[in-house]
Amino acid sequence: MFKRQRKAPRSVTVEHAPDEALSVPALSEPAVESGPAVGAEPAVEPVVVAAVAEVVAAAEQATSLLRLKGWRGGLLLHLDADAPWDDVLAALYDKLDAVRDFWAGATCTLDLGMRAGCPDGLGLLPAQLEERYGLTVVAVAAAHPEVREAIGVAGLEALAELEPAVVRSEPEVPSPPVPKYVKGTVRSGQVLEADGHLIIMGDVNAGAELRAGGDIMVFGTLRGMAHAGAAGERGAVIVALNLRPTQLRIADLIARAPDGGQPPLSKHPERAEVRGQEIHILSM
Amino acid sequence: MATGRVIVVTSGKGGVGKTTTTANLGMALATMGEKVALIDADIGLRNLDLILGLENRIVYDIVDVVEKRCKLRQALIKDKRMPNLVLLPAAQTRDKSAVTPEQMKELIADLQSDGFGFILIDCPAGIEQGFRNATAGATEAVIVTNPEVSAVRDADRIVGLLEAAELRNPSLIVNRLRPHLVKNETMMSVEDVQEILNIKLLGIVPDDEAIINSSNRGEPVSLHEAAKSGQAYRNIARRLRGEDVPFLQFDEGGLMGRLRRFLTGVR
Amino acid sequence: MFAFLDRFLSRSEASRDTAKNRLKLVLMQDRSVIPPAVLERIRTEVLAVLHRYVEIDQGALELNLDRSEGSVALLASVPIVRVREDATQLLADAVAADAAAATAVPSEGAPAEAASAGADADSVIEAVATGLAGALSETAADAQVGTEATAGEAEADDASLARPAGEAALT
Repeated sequence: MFKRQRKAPRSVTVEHAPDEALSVPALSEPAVESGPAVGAEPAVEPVVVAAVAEVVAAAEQATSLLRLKGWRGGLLLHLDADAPWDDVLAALYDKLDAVRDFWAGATCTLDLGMRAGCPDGLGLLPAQLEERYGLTVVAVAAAHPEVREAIGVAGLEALAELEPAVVRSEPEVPSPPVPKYVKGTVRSGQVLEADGHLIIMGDVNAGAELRAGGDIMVFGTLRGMAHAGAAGERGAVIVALNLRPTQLRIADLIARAPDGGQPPLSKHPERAEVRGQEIHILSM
Repeated sequence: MATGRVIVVTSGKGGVGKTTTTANLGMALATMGEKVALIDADIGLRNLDLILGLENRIVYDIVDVVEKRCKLRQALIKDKRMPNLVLLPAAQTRDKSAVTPEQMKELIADLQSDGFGFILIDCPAGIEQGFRNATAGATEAVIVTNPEVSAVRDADRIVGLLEAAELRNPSLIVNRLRPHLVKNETMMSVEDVQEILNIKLLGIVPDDEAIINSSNRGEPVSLHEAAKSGQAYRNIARRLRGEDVPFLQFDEGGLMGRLRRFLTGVR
Repeated sequence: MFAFLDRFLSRSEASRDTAKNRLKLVLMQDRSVIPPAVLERIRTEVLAVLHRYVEIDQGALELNLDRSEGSVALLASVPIVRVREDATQLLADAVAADAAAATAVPSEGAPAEAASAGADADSVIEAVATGLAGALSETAADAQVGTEATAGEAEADDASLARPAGEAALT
């Protein structure tokens, strides 16, 4: 695609040799790479969370004796309040047995709902769940005070009601910034900045500055300073129909126009990109 | 410690040749072995870099320095011909208020402790904030003017303002003199200007096509042996260093010149 | 060269000399200053007048000479603490008196208008004292001082008239 490579501006060590690498303004994320969000849940308990998604779907069509939910980073087991306790237990074991090894290490809360009276054997249930599935019961919720009292006696935390599940705010997935599009001439002294790509439909005069987290494209003549990949993205490129910049910067590299005037105008648009440790200009 | 001389080049009126003068004096002093720093105090309208041909090397500028985004040393651009000449460029994307007089003084003190023998400040036109900033740290002033009514009047105003700022005894550079116009009495002579302003004359620079050429190329004319204006700037630099150099004579040789002088009684 | 011969023969003044003479004249103006004593007296008298209409932060009053475009202007910055409640009445009286005395008020600033309009939202008091500094420096009384005052808003007794120190210019 690139026929010739112009020698001209190279990655130049600037002659006053900065002591430190260019300090570039920190932008959130390079625009290029970040694809669509994959896991919409945070990384806290990935296993359980993924499981909940599956099981919730299954549970919905399954028996009404038991409903599973993700809650407080673990499981919430709604146990039907009206059905006989043994039926409920059976449904529970049935469900858990389906993917027996899956629960290891997870925590759960049991919800007895409006069930009146403390079912026999509730005190033993946590130990059984722990032993068979590695599932730790952290609390039991019940509407009736006497049930909660019994739960407390059994050495478990009793909850009067379930707090509404914390609405998990969508994690900050860095979505690629919208490219900035500018129409018109950018004049000396003006600075245009974009978190993502920057597209100029017009000329950029000497003394003007462009700064973009992503690529810079100038549909016109670029005579000013352009800094692509300003957050450190060396893969960023600068493209212009006429590339005659005073200075180009890509990430931490700087190239300046050669002393003694610019080389003759290319007949094609040109593109500046990093190759190795230098900024190269290629005809397109 | 602070022994470096700090000279502000100012004029009041724009377009009389402050920047060209600063660039050429800096270059001439550097060729004479002085360690020179040039400060472009014309923030927002920087040009000294262009006249020196250093515009494509600017990474940091004076505002980056005062706002502590880089060290002073990082912002100094070494001249490509004279390693003992450096430029502290102005910011192009900011305005005059980006630097305060106190910050200017600090900068100058830092340059002095870095061993610069001459620090020349290119002052913006006008008498407002930019002027006050540029003159803040200076201990000497050079006023550039043209032999032309508006430039002289503004220069006079500047003399007054400099006095108010405790910068006494400024010296004068008459720039863009066109000897043949003076000869046929359509331009004020250096003597006329001096008589009006009544300050010490530091130099006379003739209007010269070579200056346009050298600005175009970014090569100060004082580098050109042959150019009359280059000679003038070198002479001024020598005078700044304390040498006693006679002022250039702009004789129009030949019969007509002599006839003119005879008829008009000019020496 | 022909221009030179032409000039030489016609003996008209060379533009170089014209330039020089014009410059000398204009610089004479530029450089002239009012003696500090006179300036101080102007300050006191102006203050006394202003004080009748508005409360002034006397310490903050600034009086300066501004030299520009062929004339010298006296610039005063008068921070107003508040406008007196009877300002309108006083103003009307003063204007009537002034009209009778027919002082040299610039035509464009007819005092009657100033009083009736009297509603400059920014509560600015303006007085004009321009003239050649030469005249001023002879004696302060020689200076042509016209006053054009627009104080406060129309409803002078409105409590809202008490406003923070504003800027008043005496040009």
